[in-house]
Amino acid sequence: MNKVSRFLKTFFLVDILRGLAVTMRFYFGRKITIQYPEEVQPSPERFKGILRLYKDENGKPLCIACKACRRACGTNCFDIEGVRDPGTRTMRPVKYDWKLDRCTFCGLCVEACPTTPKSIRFSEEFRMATADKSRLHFHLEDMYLKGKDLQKFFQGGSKT
Amino acid sequence: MSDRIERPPFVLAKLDQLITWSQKNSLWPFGSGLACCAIEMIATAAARYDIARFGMELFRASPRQADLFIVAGTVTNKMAPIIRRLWEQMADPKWVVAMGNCAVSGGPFPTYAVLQGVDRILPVDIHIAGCPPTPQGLLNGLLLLQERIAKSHPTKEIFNPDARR
Repeated sequence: MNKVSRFLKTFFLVDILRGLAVTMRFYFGRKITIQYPEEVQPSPERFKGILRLYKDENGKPLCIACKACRRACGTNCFDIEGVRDPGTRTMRPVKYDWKLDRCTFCGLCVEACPTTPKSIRFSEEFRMATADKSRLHFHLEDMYLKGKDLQKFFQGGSKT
Repeated sequence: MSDRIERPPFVLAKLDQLITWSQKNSLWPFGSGLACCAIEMIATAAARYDIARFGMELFRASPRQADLFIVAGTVTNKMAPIIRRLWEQMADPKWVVAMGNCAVSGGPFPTYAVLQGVDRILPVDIHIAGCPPTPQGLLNGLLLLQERIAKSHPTKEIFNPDARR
């Protein structure tokens, strides 16, 4: 019996068919491939994309140039200088250099930011490819760029 | 002579198109996974992101069979000569993608032991920042490389061998 069943099993390729059944189940099952350029995977809630500075509803920058992010940074990405605005008596950054190529996306700068809402935050942007390495160094104006403008900056658009 | 041919002749332009079209759609990567970026590179090759959709499904283990050198991870000074030799072993035409902040510029390691950017030893075509870049970020960089290849003029080398890179 044992010999006969084993012969039948090998003769009819039962194990191979069983393996192919798994393949076919996945073939007709739910498709899991994300067709990237056409469809983008929705980013998770706490996704750490590229760091961006933000403005408030009135278009005023939120950053008060306190340099808390610079002190918290583990890899010295930041170089910040602030000037006191004579009218409103608040500090505003005049220089905000950020080196993307040194950043480890740890989030210590976001944690340290004292303003509400936080002026420096992770965006959902994951496209950070460029042909020119110097494009990975950001200045104050570039820190507000988003979406298409940011991609244009990466691909050699206007550089400040 | 290539300077005089601002717009290449019709036949050469069509040949350029054909060559670049075939080059960009059959990039076989040589994945040199040196650090954590390698995990994202492997994830890009897996079913969810499926790098095979762009004709890059074959991650070759040998540099002689590859067109695209994805430097994924920290290049230490000790590894640098080996990376350089691997690149020299690749057959022309070849492209280099520096993936991740470490390969782009040393990343969080501005130390004596780490090479400050793989572009010091290789002609890098695309830098992909991120720590590590997400699989979609890597795909974005590879699509950018495909665009660059489509704009290149391989037949220029016939008239001017120095035009190569």
